[in-house]
Amino acid sequence: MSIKTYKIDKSSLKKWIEILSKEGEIIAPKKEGNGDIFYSFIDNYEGIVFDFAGTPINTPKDFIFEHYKTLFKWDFKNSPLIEESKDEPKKRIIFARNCDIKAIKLLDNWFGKNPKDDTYKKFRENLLIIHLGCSKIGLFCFCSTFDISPIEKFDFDMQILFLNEDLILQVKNEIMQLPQYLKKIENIEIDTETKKYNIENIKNIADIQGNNILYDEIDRRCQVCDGCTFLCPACSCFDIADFGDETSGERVRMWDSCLFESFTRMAKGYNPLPTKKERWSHRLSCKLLFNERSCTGCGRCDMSCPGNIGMSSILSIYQKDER
Amino acid sequence: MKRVLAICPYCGTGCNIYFQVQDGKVKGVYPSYNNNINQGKLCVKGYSCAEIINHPDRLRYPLIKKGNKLVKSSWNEAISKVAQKFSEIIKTDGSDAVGIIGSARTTNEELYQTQKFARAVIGTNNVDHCARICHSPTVVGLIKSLGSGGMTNPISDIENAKTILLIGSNPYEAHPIIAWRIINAVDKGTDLIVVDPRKTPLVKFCKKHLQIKPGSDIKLINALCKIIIEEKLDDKDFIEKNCERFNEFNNKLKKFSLKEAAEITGIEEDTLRDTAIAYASNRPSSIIYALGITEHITGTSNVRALANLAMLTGNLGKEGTGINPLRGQNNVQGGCDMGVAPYILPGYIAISSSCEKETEKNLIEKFEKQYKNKIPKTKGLMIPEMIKAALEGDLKAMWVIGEDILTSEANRDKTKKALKNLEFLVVSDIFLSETAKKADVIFPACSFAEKEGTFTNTERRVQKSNKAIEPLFESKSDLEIISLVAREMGYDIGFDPKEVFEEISYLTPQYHGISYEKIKKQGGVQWPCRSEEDEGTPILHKDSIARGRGEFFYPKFLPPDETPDENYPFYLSTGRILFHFNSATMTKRVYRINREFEENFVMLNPIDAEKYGIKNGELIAVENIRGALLVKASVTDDVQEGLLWMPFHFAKKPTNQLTNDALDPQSGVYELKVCAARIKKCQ
Repeated sequence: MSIKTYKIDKSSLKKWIEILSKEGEIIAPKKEGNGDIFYSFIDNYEGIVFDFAGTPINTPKDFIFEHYKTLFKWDFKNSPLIEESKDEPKKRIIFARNCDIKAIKLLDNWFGKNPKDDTYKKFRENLLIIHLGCSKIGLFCFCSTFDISPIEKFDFDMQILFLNEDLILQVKNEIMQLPQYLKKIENIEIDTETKKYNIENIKNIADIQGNNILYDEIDRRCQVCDGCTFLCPACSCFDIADFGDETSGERVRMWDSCLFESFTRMAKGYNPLPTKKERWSHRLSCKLLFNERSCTGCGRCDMSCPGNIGMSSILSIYQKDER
Repeated sequence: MKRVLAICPYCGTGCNIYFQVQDGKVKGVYPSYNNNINQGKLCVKGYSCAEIINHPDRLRYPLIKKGNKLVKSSWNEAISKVAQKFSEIIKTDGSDAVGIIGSARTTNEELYQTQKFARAVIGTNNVDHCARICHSPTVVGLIKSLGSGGMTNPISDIENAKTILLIGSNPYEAHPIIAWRIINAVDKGTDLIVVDPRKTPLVKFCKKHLQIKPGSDIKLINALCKIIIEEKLDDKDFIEKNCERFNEFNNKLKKFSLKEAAEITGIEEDTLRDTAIAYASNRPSSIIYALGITEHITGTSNVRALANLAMLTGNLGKEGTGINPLRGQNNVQGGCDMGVAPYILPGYIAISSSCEKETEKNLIEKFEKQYKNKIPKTKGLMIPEMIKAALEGDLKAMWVIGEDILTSEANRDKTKKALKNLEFLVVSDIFLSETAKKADVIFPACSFAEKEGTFTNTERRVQKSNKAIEPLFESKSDLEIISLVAREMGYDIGFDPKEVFEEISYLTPQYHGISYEKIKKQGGVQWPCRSEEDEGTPILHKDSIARGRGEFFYPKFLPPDETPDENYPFYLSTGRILFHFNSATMTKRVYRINREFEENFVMLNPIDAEKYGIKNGELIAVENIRGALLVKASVTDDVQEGLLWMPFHFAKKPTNQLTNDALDPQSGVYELKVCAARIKKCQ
């Protein structure tokens, strides 16, 4: 399938967004209080920030796999029935970074295979995705390590990006209506790259003894803040807990982290991964070795790590430490 | 979905967070990146603080004790009961029969009104807050030595130091984001020296660890001073220009024995020498400390000893230097600034019966004019004195706002008896804390996400926290509760946060130039900020020392009030762990945190464990003259031989049953960091 490329001007973009917002809820990067950028629901075009480096602080998970999700509630004083949470999500259109979109595809693998997760499915099915190409590279970005391009070359339906002063729209599949005023131009291929670590010999990274320098670093630096999990666009682990008592309460599904000691602790107290190093070996296997790699190089773990040991730092130590 | 900028409700770092609000509920927390403090980072506690807001245990409506039961009541009934009872007690026993404890987790506006309520409505200086049991020695000691009780340098400035002396502080667990700054500094080549009886996590980043014996800090710091002078590394120029009483100090140091210091601290003289040389020559050097310095009977002297060290080497008033106390609660700095202490008004204006200084007299008159009432001139009671007065029957009523004194004060049984002895106890809280269970009236306060106001973090930065949702259930902000009780008692106290802040900046010299607008524009303002044009003061003592001249003071060493003997052969020390916060009224209700750690434990050295035949994870008894607890043994060489260490978070097995309530007479802090104890194997 061929890619059609257009130039659009700002007023036409604005109109387009207005038209799209009648079709569904628009999710796009927006500036919050301190000037931080977050994926947010957009009320009007003025709130949107398209021209920025790196990723928003939050991830698309907020819209398909929330931090705290009520599964059902009970209030036996008033009703003998358990009230199931019924979501009827509207159609949503998200403008997202390539790394985050690749992460959504990883989440699809986990939540979308049989048995399908109902809540996830409902939100996911109603989500239309537009790529927001990176014309500026963020401080923590390293997506190229995993062969993800800051500006996607082919694997998109629609992609929007800033090029110098111009606004470019690339269309492969017309998954929604296009802006009214478009100027067709020649297709452009832009070669951008973020930091690229050599991961050819990554298969040994889970070996604690063989990588003692790396694991000693991880051990002293990781404060188990769990920012790297919560802010990871691809981390999908959760726990389920009840808040309340026999009479009233709710059952909540919430994000969990493999770095907690209690994450793998079994009912009688035995823990198959009793040390921080073992838990990290497990985490790195999940991120870099098992099945499809579930790291997309967004760099949020490096941004949020109070021990300076996010994935970039880990790969950089591993590279140096390779024997 | 909306995101509301706020301040993390836990420690004094003041991390900027966003509450993510969805369908009227706070459903998540994110860090802010664009700020001078946490830059995209949070600790494990911060990420899940939303759970507290929505927790089913939240107090929903006022409660009044009827018979032995706490019964649901209306706001009207609860407010009039409290007002009536306070008025009655004031009439029969006088204003000083009432004591108020404010909360270091409420806003500046609320803390300010707390002290105003005590002074203008009740008519007493019996008002205090938890700084008493943490950094009161810092405020007293640093004001005496330097003229200002605050952290001298900003958190971000830690990275400019070439040498960091971290003493009696475990920021990796108690202030994780400040630990990040230290780690950053080390990554860029700064030398870290850790002084602590335990191998705390940052020891893995340090160049030197001085594993001193508990309570020997003064010996160690004086030794460093003596060596610096011996090695001619003292900054004579700085001392001459900025300090006084140096010769007196130096003369006393001449008689100080390094050999004895080495014996008492357990640190060899050579190591002491290396440390002194590193601190004095690889400058700029920053001192960072916390409760390991303050919670001793010599707490104030310990702080002054550190001030000597900074003055002696000229490590003050410049980037990368300073003497930097890490405050433990998100507004304990504000609590001190707002005069929630029995002897100062907002802005550290000393209250005394004589009021000798003309300036102080004028300032107090300004307060009296504003309050349309006299400020009582006799010094009020500090928290430990309130507890004592309650035991002796002199204090009849107390209002405890957002603090679980039963879990956090030393010698729990004593506090328990004191509360029982009160005629009337009022508690405001978000949960039914151990202290609240003893109350006659409980006000349900709203949480941090349900109100707006300012918090002052450890680096003196006044920041604004915004309201994410309306108060849940029937709860109200502490500002409104205080205002309602005051009005019922016939005194008009406002509850509009902005108006209250304007009154604060009008009356508080350090806050004079701070407004909500300036906080928003600058992203926080560090006091002192004295005028509209003033952008605040990141580094204290820059042009000259706040006191005029810094005062050298020779601190005398005193051994801890309790030292090990035949019956109780161990030192027992206490502190915080990463996953919990203080009395854990909040953290124990966070699912993932409580799953990770829900039980008290005691750390002991493998050699001691072997002596007693104790295995890791085994239940053992820790006992002393005040009580006994059965807790799990955590066998680790993170503690030295002869030392036991316990966290104080767990109300079910309260460590403060064991701690010593001996006081530092200058500041009123308890000696929570050292007491004597023994262990017993349980069959």
